[in-house]
Amino acid sequence: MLELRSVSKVFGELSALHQVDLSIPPGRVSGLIGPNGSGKTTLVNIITGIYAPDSGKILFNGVDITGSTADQTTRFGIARTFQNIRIFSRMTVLENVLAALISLNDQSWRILRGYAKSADDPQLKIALKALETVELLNEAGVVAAELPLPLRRRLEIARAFVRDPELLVLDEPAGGMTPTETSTIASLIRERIAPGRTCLVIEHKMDLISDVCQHLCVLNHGEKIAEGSPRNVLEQPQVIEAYLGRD
Amino acid sequence: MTDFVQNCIDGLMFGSGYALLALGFTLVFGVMKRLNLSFGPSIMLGAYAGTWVYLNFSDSAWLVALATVIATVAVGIYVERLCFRAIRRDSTIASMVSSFAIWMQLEEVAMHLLPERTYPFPAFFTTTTIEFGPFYARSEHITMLLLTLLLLVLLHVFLFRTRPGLALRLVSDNPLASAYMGINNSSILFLAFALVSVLGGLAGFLILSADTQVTPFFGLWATFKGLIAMMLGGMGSLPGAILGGLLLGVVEANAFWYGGAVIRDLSAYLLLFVMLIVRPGGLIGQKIVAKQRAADERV
Amino acid sequence: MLNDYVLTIISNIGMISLIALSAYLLLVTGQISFGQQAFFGISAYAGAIATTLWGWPFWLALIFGSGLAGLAAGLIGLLTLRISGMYFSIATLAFAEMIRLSLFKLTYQIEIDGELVGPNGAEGFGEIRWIFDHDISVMEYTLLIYGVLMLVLVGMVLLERSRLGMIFRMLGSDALLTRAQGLNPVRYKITAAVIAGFIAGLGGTLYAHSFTYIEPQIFNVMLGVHSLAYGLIGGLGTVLGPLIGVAIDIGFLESIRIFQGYRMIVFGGLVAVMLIFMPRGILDEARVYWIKAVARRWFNA
Repeated sequence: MLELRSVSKVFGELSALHQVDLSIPPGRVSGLIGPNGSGKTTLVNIITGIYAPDSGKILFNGVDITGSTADQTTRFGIARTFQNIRIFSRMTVLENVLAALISLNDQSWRILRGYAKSADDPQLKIALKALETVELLNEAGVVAAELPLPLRRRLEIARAFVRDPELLVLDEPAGGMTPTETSTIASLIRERIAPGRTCLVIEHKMDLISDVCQHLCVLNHGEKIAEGSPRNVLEQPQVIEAYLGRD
Repeated sequence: MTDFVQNCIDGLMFGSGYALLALGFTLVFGVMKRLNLSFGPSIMLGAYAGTWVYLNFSDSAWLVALATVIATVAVGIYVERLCFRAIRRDSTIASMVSSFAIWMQLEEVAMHLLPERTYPFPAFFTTTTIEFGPFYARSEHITMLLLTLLLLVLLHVFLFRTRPGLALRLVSDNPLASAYMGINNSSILFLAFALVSVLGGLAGFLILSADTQVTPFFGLWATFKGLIAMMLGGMGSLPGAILGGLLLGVVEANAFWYGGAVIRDLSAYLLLFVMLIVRPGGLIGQKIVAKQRAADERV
Repeated sequence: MLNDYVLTIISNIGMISLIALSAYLLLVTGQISFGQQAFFGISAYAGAIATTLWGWPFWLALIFGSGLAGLAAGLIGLLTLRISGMYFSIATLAFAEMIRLSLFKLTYQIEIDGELVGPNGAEGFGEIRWIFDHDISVMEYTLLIYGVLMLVLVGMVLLERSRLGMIFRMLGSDALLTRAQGLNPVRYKITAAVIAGFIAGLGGTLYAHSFTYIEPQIFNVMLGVHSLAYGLIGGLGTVLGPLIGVAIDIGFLESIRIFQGYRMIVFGGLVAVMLIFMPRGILDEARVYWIKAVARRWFNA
């Protein structure tokens, strides 16, 4: 579904990614792991259009999307959450999710019409259903800035999957959470979000990764060092070495 | 052609005054990543203090200069407390707007303190005209240029050879890291403002004594000229401030000669506008723009 | 009670509210413009030229002036697309000053009834006589101003509740995140700029005909900063915000004799203090939600 061919990215003198080849299979949850500084965030940013690669190609369902901007990749069907949590903090939880649906409208003069005011507006229903899935329905009217961290992460997830994207990218969905909160998020992802959807999860918490992912890809120093099923990958010596260091 | 070169000479010398003002802006921006739009009015109040001393106490230019600098620093501290220290670090625009609001306040204060339209300012230099070849220069302008260079050297020594100067540069570069190293960011901020106010006061004194008068328009004028010069050179860049000031001086001198006062001012703003659109980092500061953009987009 | 003095204050509040709303709209989309006075001025001159020199009917002049202002605003919006934050703000300032200075050079006079009328550079543009020529009383003109203001307010309330308004607020909150929702900020930023310019323009033409004399000096940075300040004080959560700001300044500070001559000291200080404690104004977004929630509970009880 998503294919990266020989993607490289250099920042000044730092080679963040070096000729990475990657393949994300459809219908499953893939994990992107690696120690800090390995290039995971850069890779995700390139996939989601935050920046363009210096060389290489990105193919989404066979279509070349290299160099697309963030709004274009979203419209192609790739949605994401952010490692540092980005939400519209001055808007309510419900409005945050509705915001994600706006561009699904044809962007003509209809943009001037009121949104989701009547109870049977289909977009309102979709948004409420998304909130229900992440168990934020009770907080629908709360201003997003007032949410504690775990709820913010859930809001981000709801906002990302409400568009029913073909590829859902979750960037450190358990960042900053306690082990209990992490396993709550893990089961949320595994049971409610992942089924029937292609996901890419970036994490370095192993408990979440092993709980949720069916396919793993490991980066270190900007290069891919392993790819395959979790069992295989996690046993490979170079992966262990990357995380634990050489003996 | 001689006209053009003469204009350039005049421009370079007047531009040195602009450069000093620009240095004040750029130092504040370098340390705090914010703009102090009350800079001009604070200098103006300083100048009013100087003129008051001149009218009521003494003819001594040194005393007037001292009064100007002290008053500028006092006003600078007021602005720093209200518009900068009290506002959260990442609200850079809020500080800018706040300093603009305080500029309104300071202008009105100035109007109340000294209601006449212009006040005399002591001439620091004797006016003679020096000629060289087909060109000439007024001695007060040459003196201003030389004094500006002297101030620059002193500033350089301060920043690169003293400990407080080092601390200032460190905070400019990475405030978080500096805090971890035990540098008190608040006191550095204070120091920066004090330093900038001293520079501003001196710049004001030099410019006004070359003009031998101070008017209520000086505040706005100084702010805009300093701002334009800084942006032309690149926000946060010290050499940029100097280059920007000189460039502005030269452009203005020629615009004035060929077009008059309105064309002169218009050219200054046009230059600024075009620079902001085409190369917001100014002549030198493109890296700062890139850094800021990267910081904004940090995902 | 409603003598001419009071009516003048009320008119001023109306006209200045328009430029305040203009700055407010841009603030909501996350752009701080110090230059809305440029569009106010362009429209003032254009509209006044249309009625005084070309004999156009008022409504046409109003649309002409505001339309020109909107167009200019769109152009600036286009030019400043790639810059943001402080750079954008200063660019708007530079542009506004360029307009103001250009007006010093604008001389366009026609002889009408043996007299020269029209803008004359630094000497300004006087004898904008439309009100007198058509026997419009102060009261009637005030009503006209408020009629226009009401239309704008209704439009802005509708905008607030529309998808476009939602997009504006998204941009003001986080432009990158807005992009990530599949929206390209470019067209929305320019739309916002054009609408804001148009609204400022409405104020400008109305102003020119109300005061019957305009000069370049009026459209200076002070006006621009004031129009920003109104939204910042009154609140960025609702269109009532900037109106409150204007009322505080012109309605309260300007009218009360104690403040005579100290208005800017008080106003400037007020803005600075607000920016410390309530950076999004009295009626900021959070407070507006709270008010709506309270109102809902009240009506349901």
